[in-house]
Amino acid sequence: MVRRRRRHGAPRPDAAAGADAGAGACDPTAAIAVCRACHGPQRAEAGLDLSPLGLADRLVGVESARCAGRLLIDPAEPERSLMLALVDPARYDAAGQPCGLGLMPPGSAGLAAEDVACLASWVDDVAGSVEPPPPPDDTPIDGALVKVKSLLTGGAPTAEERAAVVADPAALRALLTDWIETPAFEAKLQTFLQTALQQDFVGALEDQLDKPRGLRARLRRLEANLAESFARTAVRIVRDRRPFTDILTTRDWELTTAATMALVYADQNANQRGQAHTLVRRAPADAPRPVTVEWMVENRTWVEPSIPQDCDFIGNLQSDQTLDFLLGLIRCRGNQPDYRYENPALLDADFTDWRTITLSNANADNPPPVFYDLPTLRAATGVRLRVRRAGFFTTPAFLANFPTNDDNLFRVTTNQALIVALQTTFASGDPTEAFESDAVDDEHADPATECYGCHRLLDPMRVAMWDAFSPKYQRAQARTDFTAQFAFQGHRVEAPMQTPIAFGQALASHPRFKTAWVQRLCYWANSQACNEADPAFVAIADAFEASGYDLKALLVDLFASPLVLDVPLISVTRANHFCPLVEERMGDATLCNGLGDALGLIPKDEFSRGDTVPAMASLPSTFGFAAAEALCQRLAGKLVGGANTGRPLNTAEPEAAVRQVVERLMGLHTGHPRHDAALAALQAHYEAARALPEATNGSALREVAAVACLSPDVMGVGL
Amino acid sequence: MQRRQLLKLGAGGLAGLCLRSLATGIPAGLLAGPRAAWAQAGGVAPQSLILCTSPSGDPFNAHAPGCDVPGASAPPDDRLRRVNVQLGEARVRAAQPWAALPRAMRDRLAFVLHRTNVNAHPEHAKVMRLLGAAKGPGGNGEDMLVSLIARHTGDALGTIQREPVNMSRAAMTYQGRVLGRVSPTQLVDLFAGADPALENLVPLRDQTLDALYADLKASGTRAQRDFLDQYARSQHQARQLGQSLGALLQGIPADPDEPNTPADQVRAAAAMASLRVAPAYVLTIPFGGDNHADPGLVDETEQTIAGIAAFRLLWTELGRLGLQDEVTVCQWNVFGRTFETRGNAGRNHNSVAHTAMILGPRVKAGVYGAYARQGDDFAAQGINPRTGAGVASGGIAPGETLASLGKTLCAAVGLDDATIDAEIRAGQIIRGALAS
Repeated sequence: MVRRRRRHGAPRPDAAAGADAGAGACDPTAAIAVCRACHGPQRAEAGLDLSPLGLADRLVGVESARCAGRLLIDPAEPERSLMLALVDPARYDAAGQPCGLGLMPPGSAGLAAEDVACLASWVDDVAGSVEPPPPPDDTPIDGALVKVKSLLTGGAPTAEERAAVVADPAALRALLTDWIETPAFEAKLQTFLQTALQQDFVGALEDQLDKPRGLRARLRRLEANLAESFARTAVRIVRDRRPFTDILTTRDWELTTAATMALVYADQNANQRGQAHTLVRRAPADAPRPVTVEWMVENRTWVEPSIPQDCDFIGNLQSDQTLDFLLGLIRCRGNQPDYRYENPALLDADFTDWRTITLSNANADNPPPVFYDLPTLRAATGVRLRVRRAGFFTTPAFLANFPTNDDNLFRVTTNQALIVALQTTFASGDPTEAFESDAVDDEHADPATECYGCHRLLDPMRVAMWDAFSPKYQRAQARTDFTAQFAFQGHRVEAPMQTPIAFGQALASHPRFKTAWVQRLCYWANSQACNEADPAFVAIADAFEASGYDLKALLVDLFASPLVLDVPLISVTRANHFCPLVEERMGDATLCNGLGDALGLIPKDEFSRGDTVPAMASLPSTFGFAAAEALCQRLAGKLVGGANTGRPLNTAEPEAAVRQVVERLMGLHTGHPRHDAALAALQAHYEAARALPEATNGSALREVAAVACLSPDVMGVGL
Repeated sequence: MQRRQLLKLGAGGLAGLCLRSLATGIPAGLLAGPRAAWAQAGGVAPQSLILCTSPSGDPFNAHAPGCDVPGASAPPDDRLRRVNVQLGEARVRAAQPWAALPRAMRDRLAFVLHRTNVNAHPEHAKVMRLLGAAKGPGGNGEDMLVSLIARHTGDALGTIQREPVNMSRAAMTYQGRVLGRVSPTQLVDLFAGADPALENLVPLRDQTLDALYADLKASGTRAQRDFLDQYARSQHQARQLGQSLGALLQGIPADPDEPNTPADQVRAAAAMASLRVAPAYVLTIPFGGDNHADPGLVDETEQTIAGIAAFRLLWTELGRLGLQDEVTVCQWNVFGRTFETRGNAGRNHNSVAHTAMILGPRVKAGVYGAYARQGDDFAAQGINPRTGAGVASGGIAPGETLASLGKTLCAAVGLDDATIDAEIRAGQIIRGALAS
């Protein structure tokens, strides 16, 4: 979704009407009246209303609803206005058929040259009627520096870093290059990518893993593993400076043994699902002593001596019950509660042994492993699977977030993959020529219906996923009889694509990929979109492509550019940034442990089904402040302690501790213009809190830490 | 925090930071009577708005008043059998649970049969912006209707914050910026579990925060000053809410094993409305969800019955808090669904048949607009703006019924005609749906 916004000052109210007189002999109003059949107040196609009242107001400096970053009338360069590019064949071709939109009026070859000239004259007049915008304030160097460093690492700039940039603004690139090589950056990048690739779990694993049950902690860790898996994969791609397009096609995934087990479980065929297992309290006589996991796997006989005598347990296990057993649950018959045993076969270490595992294709000669063969999975660096998983959109987390069903048949999943990869979605006005396909659902196959506009492109595309996954369970299934094909926003891939891998390749070849990821990082940095028509944006996107999609190079280019440094918006600190910030600045990576409930109350970066714009609450709000206060109160308790506690703020040295709060937590180094005032204010706060009845050094320092944590220097980005 | 304490803080404890925020536009909502002042000045006192919405496109239209179209599939369950329902002076047909609502509530229930003109879930935001007809401040860009209404009613209502509170499943915006979501249980955590010891430190804490940024507020850039103002405002608002809201939220969640149900949302919205936290509250009350696949329409049946019960609870809560004359409720989704079921499987999207509900003191109870068969299902006709009757030709064109719903809702919450026409550039107010 494109947010329409004005970039310039308000036009004079009568600008459009007055412009007619300035058009000389030609009269553009007749042409505009024709356009009004589709772009009028009653049927504002593409969100464009060309009715006379306030027309200039709706055109000048306003971004197109269908072509992100393009202005309907560009007040700076009227010649580049989208209005002209869509009616003038010459401009249309020169602009590269903007956003895949067709020439206007629909079905025509555009307007005649004399009409274009007339309209151009009118556009020029209207554009010229705009009052110039007030000059923006310069973004202070301290605000810009703290913004980029906080976002990239959580840390605050040092006095030396500030001095270097003041002496030579170009030094910022070197700083950025250093910052993105730190572990703190990788942690932040992983968090960003987990959300950007929509792997944060908002769905459930029930379909894919047959409603798994077990020790709750184990289930939570399994979900966390699956959410982290592809984010870690993407981080590795970035770290190795691989083309970032690999996120669409890679089969080298970062996995734990537990996460690998989940993939293999979802890959089972009917025969494997039907395999019976046995559960016993005591090992049979022929079993080795002590009984080994290898023996249990080979014999599909599981031995668990701790099962209570009063549990009439189910001894013949189906595959789903075996999975539950591995996760720590044994089902008892009758009214007895199920038994959760303490040390399941799936060990704690199986959730932390991250490594790169290459997924490859299983076949009759090379079958996939069985999910319960833990020794094999623990040693694996490669796994054969029936389903050809590749790219972020085939992960269990993504499929759990955007499940499909027998009716939807992967439309929602496919659309969401487009939103992540290209930050755009289907629109009925997309003029891209569709392939002839029998995959268009009969209900939507009538070109006379409004449904057809999207379904003609979406339905053949979703076959790539439908061929791999069962719509009901989002796990392996046989191929369909349909042909998968990709045509979207002016980009057609001629070769059929029958696998998710080919779908990923098609997405990777789409010209919008570079733009999408510059824009996504803009959202991360600014909590709002950048103007995609801005020459600086275009240059950065082009450089990203030229670098072979090196995301680190893109980060340096973007974060050193006015697109990030000169954006005046100061956002609240969302949950995704809060912990890295306080942990990095206070040098304690455990500070946020146990803050889960309180942390969950402040806004976080989110995505939603079908929405191309990430949800990034940036405004301070009543609830946000109340939540921040509760969170800071808890955090302050973890920062303050005696000399032997190892906590960052030592109660025996309160003066030094207050200084630490200013210089580390608030990030105001000694050379910062606000350092001295902040130190004085917090020292006074300490004294006042210390003077309260029954106060101690500890309680007063906790109060200082809480108020500093609550300050806009911590709870705001880029002050 | 009680009002007495608030006054005390305002007089002495809250230093320049908060006073500055007061000076920049925060009215003392709890203390003054701006709503009455607006009425005295000749305007109509504005209403708080509770908007129930979902991008799922629930089959609300399938059982609401106006649903009894010839040829529609039979109700799936006897509990949803069609009966006569008295809405004010109008007698209509609808599913039985509607008839069981209190008479006083039914006397304020209006149903508008219209088109949303979209049929894809992601277009929810577009519908909320009336397909571009709802304009942003000064007529620039587009704005969600709930944002537009909040902009105009917030001051007069004297609400603590200007932005709507979003408890729904939908992504909602205020003046183009995404609103964070807050759940009823989060509200409880924030306001019903506050540490009493903290109250003593609040004045000191606020004073220090003020001192920390005194220079920057005077000499910072506009962006810095704006942020500090907004931050101070939210700080002041949070103090205002204090424990008053916490007390009203007691009992949420009703079921700890299933928190944040529609009932929890309804109770939280009513509680916040009573304290004038915001001009608008956005909830989601399911009526069957995205039910392409709902064999036997089981989910649709259960959720429809539960959804109507949630409305009844809302009416009860508003009554308990003395708000039935001050709050308007609207149920409005991204699109409706087909009246014809697909065998026993479920219902498809219907971009041309959606039923919106408005509950409030300024609406005239009844059903406005009409459905007529179109193709293999049904579509909303045009509407006679004077009577509200459905018309095959003339009156409000079918394509403009969405904007007309928006205009009518604006009128119901108290916006004047000139404002409505300036802010919504299509459609007409359905006068027949408004109480005279």
